[in-house]
Amino acid sequence: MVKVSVIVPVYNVEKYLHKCVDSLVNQTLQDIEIILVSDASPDGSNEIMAEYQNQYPSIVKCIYLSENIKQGGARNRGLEIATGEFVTFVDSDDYVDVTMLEKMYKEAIEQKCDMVYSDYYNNYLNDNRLGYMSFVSEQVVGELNEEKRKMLFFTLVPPYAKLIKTSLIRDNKLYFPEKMFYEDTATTLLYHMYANRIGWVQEPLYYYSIREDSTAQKTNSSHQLDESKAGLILHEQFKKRGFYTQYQDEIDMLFLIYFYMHPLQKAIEKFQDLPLEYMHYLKDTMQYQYPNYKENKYYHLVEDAHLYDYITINDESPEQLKVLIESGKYNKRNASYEKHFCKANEDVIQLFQACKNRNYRIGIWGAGKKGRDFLQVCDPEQQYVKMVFDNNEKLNGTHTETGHPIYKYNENYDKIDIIFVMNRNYYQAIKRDIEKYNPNVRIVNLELWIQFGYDLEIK
Amino acid sequence: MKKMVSVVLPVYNGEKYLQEAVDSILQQTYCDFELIVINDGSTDNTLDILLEYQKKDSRVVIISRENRGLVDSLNEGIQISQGKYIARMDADDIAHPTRLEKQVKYMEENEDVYILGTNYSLIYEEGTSEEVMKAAQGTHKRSTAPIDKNDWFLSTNETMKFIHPTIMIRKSLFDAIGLYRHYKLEDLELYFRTGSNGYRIDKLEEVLLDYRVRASSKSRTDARAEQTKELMEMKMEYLTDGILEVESKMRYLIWGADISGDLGMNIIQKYIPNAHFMGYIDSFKEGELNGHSINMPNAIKDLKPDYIFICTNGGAVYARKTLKEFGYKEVQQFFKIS
Repeated sequence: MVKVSVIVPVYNVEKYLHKCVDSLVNQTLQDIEIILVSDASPDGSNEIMAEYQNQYPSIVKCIYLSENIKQGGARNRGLEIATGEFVTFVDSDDYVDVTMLEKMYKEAIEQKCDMVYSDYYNNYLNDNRLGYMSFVSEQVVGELNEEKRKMLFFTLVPPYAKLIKTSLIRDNKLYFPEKMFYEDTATTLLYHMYANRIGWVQEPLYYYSIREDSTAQKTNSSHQLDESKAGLILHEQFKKRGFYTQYQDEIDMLFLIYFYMHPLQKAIEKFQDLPLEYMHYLKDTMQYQYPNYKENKYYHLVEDAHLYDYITINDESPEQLKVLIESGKYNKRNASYEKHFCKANEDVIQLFQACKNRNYRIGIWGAGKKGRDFLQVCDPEQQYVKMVFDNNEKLNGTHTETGHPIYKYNENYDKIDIIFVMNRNYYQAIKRDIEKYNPNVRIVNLELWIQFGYDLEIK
Repeated sequence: MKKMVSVVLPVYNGEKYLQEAVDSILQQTYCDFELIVINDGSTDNTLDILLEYQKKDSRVVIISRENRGLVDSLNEGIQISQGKYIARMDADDIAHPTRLEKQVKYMEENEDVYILGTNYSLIYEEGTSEEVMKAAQGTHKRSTAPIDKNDWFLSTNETMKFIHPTIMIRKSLFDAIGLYRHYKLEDLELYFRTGSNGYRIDKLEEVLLDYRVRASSKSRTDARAEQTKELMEMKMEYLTDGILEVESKMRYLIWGADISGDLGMNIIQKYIPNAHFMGYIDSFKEGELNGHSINMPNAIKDLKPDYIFICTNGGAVYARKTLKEFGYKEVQQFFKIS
C-alpha cells in the first residue's frame, strides 16, 4: 500500500502530458504511485506514457483502454487498481506543485482527515497570468456537521486539488458515471456526505489550465448537454443514498443549478443554433418534477436565477426567443444585484449600522457590477461605506455611480477596519492579499454570510 | 453494455508465443469479451506487440507496470474487469476456437458452478528434454481422469485437474472469498479455498486448450519442495480449524515414504504436536525412512491408525481408493495434504 495514488486520465494531450507527468514523478512525497489511464487516446500520448513507465518503473503504472469511456470511466479503471491510502485526480493537461502531495498528505495525517483540499490557480495561458482560487473557506473545513455539510453543497465540482481517502470512495461506491461529460458534477459533491473531517492546505498547489479559445466561436456540440444528465444523476444519487430528508433544499438547489440553469445558460451563450427542443425538455421536466422551484430557500441567492424566468412565464416561439436572446436581454453580464441579493438588504443595512456604532470604517472589495449595484441598493447615500477596493488599475481614483471612491488596496490599508468581500470564490485570495498589508483588518465573506447567515461576531 | 467475459492474461517477456495466444482469443467464436493483458514489467517486445493489437481490436485492454509477479498481475486484471466471468489465459498457450462459447454456455446453465476447467492437450517447445516431457505427460494423464461430480471439494484436492489457463471463474466468487493470495501454488490455493467454502468447481471433459510445455520447466526439486511445503501448511490450517483437534493424541500414518512424506511429517508435527506418528505406508518402498518404519498398505488393517495423511501425488489415486475400500472416511479419517 502506498501513501497516495495519483490518477490521470489521458486523451489527446501529447502537447501537455510531459509537463503534467514531470510534476508528478518529481513529487517530494516518497511512496506514491502514478496511474496513467489512456482513454483510447489516438495521438502520441500512449507512447509518452510508455516512456514514463519505462523510466520510472516503481511509481508509474499504465492502463491502455481501447474503447473511449471518457474521463469518468478512465478514472474508475484507475481507482480499481489503486493501492494508495489516499487518492487524488490530476487532469492530463494541467500540472501541479512538486510539494503538493507531501503537504496534503501531511495535513491528512496530522489532522486526521479523510479529505483534504488545497487551493489552486486558474492558469490563463493566453494572458500568462494566474488567478488564485479556493474551493473552501474556514467555515466549511474541520470536523463536519450538518451546517457545514449544507454549505459544502455549494462547492465547485472539479475533482482536482483534493486528496480523498481511497476507502471513502470504495466503501461507498462513489465512482464516476462513464461515457459522458460533466462526470465530476454527478459525483464529487457526494464525498462531503461521507467525510468526517476536511483538511485545508491554504496554498495554491494545482495549476488548472485555461486555454481561452475565441469566445466568439460557437458550437453545436451536444456534450454541453451532458450537464443536465449529470444533474439528474446527482439528484438520484442523493436520494438513493438516503440524504434527501435531511438536505432537501440543498439537493433540490443543486438540481436547479446543474439540471436546469447551467445547461440553459450554456445553450443561450454557446450554441450557434439554439437547441430549442432540448431547452423545452428542460423546462417541461422542471415544471413536472419541481414546479415550485422558486420557493427553494436558496433560490434568490443563486446567480442569475431570474434570467430563466422567461421560460416559465412566457411562451415565445423559437423565432421570438432568438430575437430576445440576441438583444442581450438574457445576457448573464446584465445580471443585477437587486435580484441577486434582494432578500438580504435589510440584514446588510443592519450589519452596516452595527459596524458604524462601533466606529468601524467600512470598505467593500469589488468595484464590478455586483459591487456597484450592491452600493446602489444598500448604501446610496454613502452613509456607511467609506471606499471601494479593486486592483483594476483603470478604476483607481474613480468613483462609483453612488459617489464612493475606488482605490487600490495597497495604498489605503490603514484607512479601513472592516472589509466586505462580494464574491465568495475570491474571498480566500483577497484575504491573503489584505493580510499582507494589514493583519488587523476584519474581512467578511459577504456572499457566504448572506447565503447562510452564519453568526458574525462584531466585537 | 457490460461485457460477459473478461479474459485475464498476465505476461512477462512473452514475445515468443504471445501473438499465437492473443490471436486464439481474438478469434474465438464467442465475441462478447474484453481481453485484459497485464504486462508484468517485460523487457522484451511484449508491450509493443500489445499496443499494436489494441489498434486493431477494441476489446484489448492493457495494464503495464513494473514486475510484481503473477498474483498481483492476476488480481489487478480481476479488479479492473467488467465481465461477469473471468477466463484465465496464458501467454504461451492456444485456446481452441469454441473454448469461451462452451464455457459460458455451461456456466449460464449451471449457476452454482463457480470455477469451470477444461481438458487440454500438450504441445512442446523445441528443445524440451525427454525428462520434462515425461513429467508433463504424467501430470496430463492424471489430469484427464474424470472428477468426482458429487464432491467438488475433494475434486480440488486432486492433482492438476483444473489447470489454470483453462479455467473460467464466476466473478462473484472473488467478492465472496477474496482474490488470489501470495502462494507459490496460487491456483491450487484458490481452488482449495473455493471448495472448502462450499463453492462448486466443475469441469468440461473436452479438450479446449493446447498447453505449451516449455523447455525450461520448473521441475527442480527445491522449487517443488517449497511449493509443497506451502500447500501442506495451508491444508493443515484447514484441518486443524475444526476437523482435527490441535491437542489431539491421535495415532497417524503418512502415505508416501519419500521427500514429500518426510516434509509432511515435520509439518504435521508443528500443527498437532501431541499426536503420535506411527510410520509410513508405501506400495513400492520398504525398510525405514529416517528411523521410521515403512509399511505395506495391507498393514493398515493391523495398525489401526486414527488418521492417515496422504503425502504423495503419484500414488494419491491408489491411496484414496484403497483407504475408502478399508472403510476410512475422507476428510474425517484421511486427507491428502500434498
